Amino acid sequence: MSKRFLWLFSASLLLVVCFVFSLSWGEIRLFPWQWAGMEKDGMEMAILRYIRLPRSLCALCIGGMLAMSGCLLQGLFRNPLVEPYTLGISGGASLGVAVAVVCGFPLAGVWGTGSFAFAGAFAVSVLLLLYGRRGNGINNLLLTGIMTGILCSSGTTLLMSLSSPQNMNRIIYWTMGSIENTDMGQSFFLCVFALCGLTLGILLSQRLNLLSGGSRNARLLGVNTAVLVPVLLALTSLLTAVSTAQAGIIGFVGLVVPHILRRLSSNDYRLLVPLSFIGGGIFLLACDLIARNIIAPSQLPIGVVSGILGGSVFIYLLIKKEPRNE
Amino acid sequence: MNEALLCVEKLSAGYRSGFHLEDISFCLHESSLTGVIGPNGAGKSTLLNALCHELSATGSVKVCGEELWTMQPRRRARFIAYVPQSIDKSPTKLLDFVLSGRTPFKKWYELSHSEQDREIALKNLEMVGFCGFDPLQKRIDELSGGERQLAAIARALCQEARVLLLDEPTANLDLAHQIRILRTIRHITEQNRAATLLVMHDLNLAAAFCNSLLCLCEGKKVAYGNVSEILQKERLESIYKTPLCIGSHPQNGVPVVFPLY
Repeated sequence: MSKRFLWLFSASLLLVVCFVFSLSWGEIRLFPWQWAGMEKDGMEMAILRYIRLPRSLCALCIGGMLAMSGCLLQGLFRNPLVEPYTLGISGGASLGVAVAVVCGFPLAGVWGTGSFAFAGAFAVSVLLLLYGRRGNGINNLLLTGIMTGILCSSGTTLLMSLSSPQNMNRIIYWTMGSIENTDMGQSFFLCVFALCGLTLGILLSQRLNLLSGGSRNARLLGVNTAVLVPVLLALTSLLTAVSTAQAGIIGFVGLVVPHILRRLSSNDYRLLVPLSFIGGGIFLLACDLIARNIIAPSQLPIGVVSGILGGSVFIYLLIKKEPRNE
Repeated sequence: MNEALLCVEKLSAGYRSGFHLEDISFCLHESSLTGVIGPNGAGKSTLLNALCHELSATGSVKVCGEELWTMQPRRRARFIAYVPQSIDKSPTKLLDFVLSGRTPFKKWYELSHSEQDREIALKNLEMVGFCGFDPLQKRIDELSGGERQLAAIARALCQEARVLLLDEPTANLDLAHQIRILRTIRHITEQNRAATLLVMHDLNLAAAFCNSLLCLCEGKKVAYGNVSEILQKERLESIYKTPLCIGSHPQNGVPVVFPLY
């Protein structure tokens, strides 16, 4: 049995366990052996079907999409510290939300903050793609992303300082990240989107292996980097934009998960891409479980939990890393 | 007459920083090993970069009769294989590294290599001298500099390209490894009826192993021809700007260059 298969099989098994646990655990415990005996129109079934299932699906998909985006970007930029938000996509989304809130648009609906967040994130992605197409080099692209993110954050701060305290709170709460208000329709859309993204990510993983040895090296081996780089950028940008629009800013998933998995498993992107998706799903399901149970009946924003958990693990790993012989 | 595999006509290329390669013309035939010589900054590596289509260039470069500039990267990699001066120490398995040379023959969505690809990779690993241990177990960062160079040559061979470009393949290697690598390159060139262009700093090794030499200086072609034609005292002294004397090798009579101190 190959190492790749073993890793994917074990991770998938853990994901299923986490998913079932996420559906079961809460203020009201709904364990799998109770599901069959539930009344069809009862409260417990409603909690399971309309609250926990969409929420758990949302956590799984968003965790998966962000971690996979991080993995793809780390390969593209040959930098293990790059994550989806490094490219300024979250900054664009935040600016979009700030504009929506200041202009008085509602929180939910077609014209809600989610749409504006997507528009902001998408606008930054398009900007990066246009810049990337001019052939300015991968490192310049990364710097442009960082600078765009800083510009957008400054714009958001400016709007916040000009808005009322109530609007300011709304913007701050959105940036904390939350998946509380996810319905089944949104979850279904996220699942379809995440699966399409995962499929494309896996198909591109072999090319990413070559790209991680340098774009020149990849070109000399016959890879059309003029097509591959924009496709990878478009894929990661879209995955991040959709995640951010749905759940706000959930930090560290895209950085920590691929980083840890790379250390544990392999540098081969054919394994790392699907494993990051599964690992991201597991991580965010765990974060969501903590977020909704640790101070029950109140809830914490998932972005706060993922930040604290991810940041702590990351610092631990950095400290644990063997010191260089100097 | 051997078939012409690489024909370069009036090639000019340059970097954004301003260094230019001007009006270079030459032709490489099958089973030929050509050394590119010249002082530092003469444009030797620039020439190789231009032939890999990594620089903006004008003029004509025909590979097996087909214009290089119009080729897609995948097709180009089937005609031209390039071995860089140094290979990054990556944790990639040796066999995976060599198998990446089969990329030009794979569809963009293919994730794994066929059994035939593996056979080709193992055959080429054996050809460059990787035998006696299981290449599946070795990683690139565990190999010595010379072994990494050989691995890069094996990868280039997997591309099954007729034109091989090697940028200082013997740099940073000891004498035994230099001889071993150059012997391997010469053997491969003859066996595959390829045309090989290799950048060399060591004029004596170039004289011993190459059929012909291309001499560059300040981005221009100074001379192109067989070894004894090119290695002339006055020419070398003028381009290297140092006094030299030319002797002949006691074993085979090829020219040997001695710098005068």
